[in-house]
Amino acid sequence: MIAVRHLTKQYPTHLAVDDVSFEVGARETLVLLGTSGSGKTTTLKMINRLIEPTSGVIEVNGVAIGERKLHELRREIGYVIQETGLFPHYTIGENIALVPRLLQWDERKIQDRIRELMAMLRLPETFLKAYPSQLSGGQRQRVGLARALAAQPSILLMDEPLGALDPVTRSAIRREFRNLEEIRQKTIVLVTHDIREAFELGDRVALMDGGRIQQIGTPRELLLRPVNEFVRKFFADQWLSLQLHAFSLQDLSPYLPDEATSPPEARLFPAHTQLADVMSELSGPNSIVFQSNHRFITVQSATIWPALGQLLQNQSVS
Amino acid sequence: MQEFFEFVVEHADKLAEQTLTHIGLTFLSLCIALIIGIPLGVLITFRPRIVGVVLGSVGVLQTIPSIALLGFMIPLLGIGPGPAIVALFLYALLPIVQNTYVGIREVSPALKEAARGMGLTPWQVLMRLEFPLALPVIFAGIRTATVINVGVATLAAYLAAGGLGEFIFGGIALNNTNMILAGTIPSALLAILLDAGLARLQKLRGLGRYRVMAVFFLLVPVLSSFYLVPGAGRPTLRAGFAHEFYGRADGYPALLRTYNLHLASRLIDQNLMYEAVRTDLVDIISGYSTDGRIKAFNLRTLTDDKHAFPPYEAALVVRQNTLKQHPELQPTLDLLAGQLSDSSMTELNYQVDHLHQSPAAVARQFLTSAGLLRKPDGQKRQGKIVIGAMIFTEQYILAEIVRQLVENRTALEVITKTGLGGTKICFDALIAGDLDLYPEYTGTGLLVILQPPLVVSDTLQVSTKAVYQYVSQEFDRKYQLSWLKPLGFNNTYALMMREAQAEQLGIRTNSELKQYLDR
Repeated sequence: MIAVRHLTKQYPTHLAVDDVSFEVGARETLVLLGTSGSGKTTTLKMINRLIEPTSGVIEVNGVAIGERKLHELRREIGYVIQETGLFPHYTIGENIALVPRLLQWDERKIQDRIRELMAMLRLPETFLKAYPSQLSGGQRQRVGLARALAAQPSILLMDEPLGALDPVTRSAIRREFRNLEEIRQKTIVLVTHDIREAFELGDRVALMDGGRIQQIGTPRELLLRPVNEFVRKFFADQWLSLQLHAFSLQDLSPYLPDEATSPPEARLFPAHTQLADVMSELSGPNSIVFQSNHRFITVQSATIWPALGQLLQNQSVS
Repeated sequence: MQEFFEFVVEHADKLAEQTLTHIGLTFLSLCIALIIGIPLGVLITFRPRIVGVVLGSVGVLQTIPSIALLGFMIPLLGIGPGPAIVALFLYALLPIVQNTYVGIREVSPALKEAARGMGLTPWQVLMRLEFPLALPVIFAGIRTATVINVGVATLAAYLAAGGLGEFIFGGIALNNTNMILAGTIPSALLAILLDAGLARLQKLRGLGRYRVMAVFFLLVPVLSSFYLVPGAGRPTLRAGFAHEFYGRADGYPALLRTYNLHLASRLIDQNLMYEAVRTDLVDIISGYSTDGRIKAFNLRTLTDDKHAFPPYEAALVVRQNTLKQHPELQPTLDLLAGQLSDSSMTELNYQVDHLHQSPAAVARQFLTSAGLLRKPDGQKRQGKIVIGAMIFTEQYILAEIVRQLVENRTALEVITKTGLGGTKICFDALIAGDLDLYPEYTGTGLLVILQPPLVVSDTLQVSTKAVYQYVSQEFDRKYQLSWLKPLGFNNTYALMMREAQAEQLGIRTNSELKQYLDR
């Protein structure tokens, strides 16, 4: 879907992006992770040509973006930014309808689409006539997403989309995003400085520093097989809790006893659930069950840590 | 207060007309400033390199004192509504250009980027995002420009463009407080009303705001057209009257009384009046019969066949104290008696007004040719007297003649105070002792200062000599001021027209003018 090759952006005073290359496949989410000044946002903005590169090539669906008409290219790519960038003088409805109207969609189709998005993002229809300033930060963020999705782009670019929200709202919306079918269908490039966000949302993560990609790979690869000292140190602080994002229940199955039948009254979870998402269910004596190879496996807080310890030992050996 | 309301009621027609003209001038110039200023402000947001130059230039225009800016218009564009509107437009430009630029620039960069990122073209970003969000700031600029223009538009009267300034200038010239207030209060009210109205508009929220602002933009051209209203359905001849003429009992009111001659008039600075008739801005003016420009501009003086205007024999009015203090003064000044005929005064005025010689040089030539100057004896200066002169050419020349003559023949030092606003100002200064003498006209002394009952002035007016005798007696008795012997010429009011037009319409006298208008 998106191919970036030898991308460089040289500003008069500094080199912002230095020979960056990556590819993003269809329906994949790539997170550009890094501290401020690492070049991640500059890289993102070059994809929809808000910034023109000094050298290098970007292809979207096999066509170099330099050959596309600027506004046509952008209308095909959803764009979500921090603080959402909603027009303060447009109602919520008008904001969401912005790109479809630019594309001259049929008005009835636009209205249907708005209602569909509002329902999907759990926004009450009474908001349609409200102005952005009347909504809470989390609600605005959802409207921002709805606006980016409105014209059904196949690609979404997101620049710190949750940056303006408090931690609790952040993780709630993150979970919502992840579970939306429509978002799972998109090819997404997301910029963030939040490591947990990167691990939760990214299929792959590109860790950037000084304008270069230090390492690109799945969260697990970055965590367990850092290519250099920078990458190792970057995750060192949260190493333990990040494990919980890097592994799912399925990964633990070899290290836990299984049974042929489900224990009575057990709560069943899908096997691909990230460990981080089940931790809150395991406080005290509670236990949960998941299914693997037609066998049922019970997990408790007392058993999860030893199992994880064995898993990590094996990972570092292999 | 009572008098003020009487004045307003009496001049209600004229006041309504001036107010309409004033609104028209304000909004016509504002309209042009909007048409040029807003696109200019938008343009410079796209071209950061010329921001400094553009804002600098319109800023410099703003620093020019308004009266000076209007003054510059006369040599550049002449007089009339055109130049006045140009000057007002230049004045309104800065707040509009600046606020458009600032308003658009201050729209959050994140919003602009979001808009571009979603695929809005630069034009769409401007029209859908930047312009609507900048509108309150732009409106603040329009509000400032409007209030400035209401104020500056009072000066348009100086360029013969009409407006409430007519009464303000007129009131100043006549030292008539009621007349000044009649111009000032409506223009102040207009400024306050527009300011408050636009302020409310600016504070409106939501969608309603855009609708109301759109209405405002449509309203501006409508209000502009007010300028044309007072001109509609007018008689074919337009008059331009000097403020003094309009306000003085022996001027326009006398014309009304004697001939019942109603003219649609614009009040014009008396120095620009001749220019106005020459350039077809008006057809009839209230001139002075000895003005040099009658000759220069080929004007016809209409005969005052029913003696509406009293005689205006020029003579020097002197404080009796001064004459006692400097006994040599009276015989010296009496040398001028009868030396200046109507035609010779016209000629002197012509030399200054049209040939642009200095009053001093013209006065010197006159005194030399009349043989009134002696060889200077180089004696030391002792004592001094102050001569006043009103603000028109003839008075400057007369003051110079007196100064040169007195300094030549006596040891007195002579100080001239020229450019005084009018008779009332000179007379008050004379009573207060700030002046020792000034050239005055018998008719003015009679009607402006003495103001005898109508019966008395009507009987006197027929005879030049009777008027002179009456004023010199009364001034002596009431004010201890002496009228010296008349200088010889009679500088009375007269209606004047362009020679060609007067010829074509067959108008030679005021009665014929009246007949023409009534036809």
